[in-house]
Amino acid sequence: MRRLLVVEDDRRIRDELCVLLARNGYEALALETFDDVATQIVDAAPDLVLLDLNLPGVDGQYVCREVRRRSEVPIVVVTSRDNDMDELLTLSLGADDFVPKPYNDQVLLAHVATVLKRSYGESAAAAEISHGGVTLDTARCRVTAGGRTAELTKNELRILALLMRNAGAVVSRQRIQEELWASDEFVDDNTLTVNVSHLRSTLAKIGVEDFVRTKRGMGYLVE
Amino acid sequence: MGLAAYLADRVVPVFVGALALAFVALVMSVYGVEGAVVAFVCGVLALAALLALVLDWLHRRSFYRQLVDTIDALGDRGFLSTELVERPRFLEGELFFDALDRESKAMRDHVSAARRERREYREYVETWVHEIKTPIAAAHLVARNNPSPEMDAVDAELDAIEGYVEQALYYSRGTSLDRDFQIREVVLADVVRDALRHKARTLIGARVAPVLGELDAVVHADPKWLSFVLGQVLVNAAKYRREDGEQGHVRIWAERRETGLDSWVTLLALADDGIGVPAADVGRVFDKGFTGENGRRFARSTGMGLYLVRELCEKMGVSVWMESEEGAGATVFLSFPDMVERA
Repeated sequence: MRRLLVVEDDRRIRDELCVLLARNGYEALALETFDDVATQIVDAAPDLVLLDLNLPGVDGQYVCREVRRRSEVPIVVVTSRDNDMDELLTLSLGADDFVPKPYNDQVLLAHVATVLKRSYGESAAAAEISHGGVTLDTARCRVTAGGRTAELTKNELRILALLMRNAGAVVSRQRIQEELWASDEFVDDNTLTVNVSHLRSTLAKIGVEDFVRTKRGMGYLVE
Repeated sequence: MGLAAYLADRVVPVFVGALALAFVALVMSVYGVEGAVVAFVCGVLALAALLALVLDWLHRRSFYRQLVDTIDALGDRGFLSTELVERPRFLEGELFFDALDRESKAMRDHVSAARRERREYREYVETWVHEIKTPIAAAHLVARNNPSPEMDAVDAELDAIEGYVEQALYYSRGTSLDRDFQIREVVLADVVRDALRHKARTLIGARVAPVLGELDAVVHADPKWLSFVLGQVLVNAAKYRREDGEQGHVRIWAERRETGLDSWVTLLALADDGIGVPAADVGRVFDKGFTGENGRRFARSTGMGLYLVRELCEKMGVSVWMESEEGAGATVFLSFPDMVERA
């Protein structure tokens, strides 16, 4: 499991970010104090840092440069300062990516996954997700159950991963579409229906029936 | 200031002078002075007076002509004229010049104070927008981490708040006197995708999805501004979606069009299949505060979105217009002129 360090002074955002990351298969750590942030980051040795530029009494850009001087850890900068100069300056100081606030959670997760992939290789961001005897290999786009394996398309993989990560809860169609749109797959309602029925028939081929349930008027559910 | 007009203005002294001359001539004749002498004296006096008038006219004319020319050349900054015109050297001109100079100084102070206030206000708006984003981001995360129908509804309202905050930011940027955007080469596909991701929740919530056509074209624009502009158009596609409840679509494509002899533009079109705009309103949808038939019927329009679209486009040198068939949808066109000089 990849360890992500959240450096954010707003307590609420910090806590919620940790919940969001934990729920999406990452180990989330957070800094509680902001003295010598760069050293704290380097000492925590995470796999990726989510860095807010506006920390109390510290210049985020300075932190960025300091960390980069001492470590190769990927840095994703999150900021509500929304201008080109900041973006260019931050990236030139060694940050790997830049996400403006208020971000869409799906977009943020997509950025994190992309940076992890770039830094640690294709299999790094992806983890195996297992639930109810079904194992999803997100790096190879494969699903395995009872010793049988099937290939999934990118969209099917994203849908199944989302449902399995939220196993036990109904995931609305809107939510699934948002997840797909965040990675530039602008599917409409009908395409989503088609994707889900393809996914079901793929699962049926490896002997998994009724894994993805339809909750009429609400969405889909993996129990 | 023509000579005739100048002389007409001097009618009283000329008349008094002529009267005095006539009286002198009369008195001289009464005392038996010879006619030739009277004529000579009167002629010399009259010529001298005329010469004095013409010289005075030429002297004044050079000042007034310079002043008028300078004010014309300055256009709407005419209040700067006394900085550029030399102070004249005749009494009335001096009085006039000094009065004008004082007035223009007061005006300049006024203008710079207004500018400063405006800049400060704008800085405040920028700071405020930047501050408000933190609580909005926090509220979004809370809503997303606790999914439920109620939280989804709150989340959608947060999106609306975010949209208005963004409008306020771009209103203050777009109407600013400073030129603080950066025109550079952008690939339309990148900006279109960015705008779609940005407005994803609104579009998905309204069941409107894009159909992307050819978008490889490279144009000159500020990517952030252009993304905001496209976002406004996309939000309208969601707001004024078709009424039959079917899945709505926005077709987005770019094409090259020749507008004249060897002059080309890149056209970006966003065509929705929504309720469209009544023919009477199409020409005015970009006007500030215009809500029109649809705005009244749906009672959600502020008339700001498309106004900002036009303002920002104008600043970037992009022309924008709408074509629509009521009941069948509206298409917004953006036309990016080629900046490259053709050999």
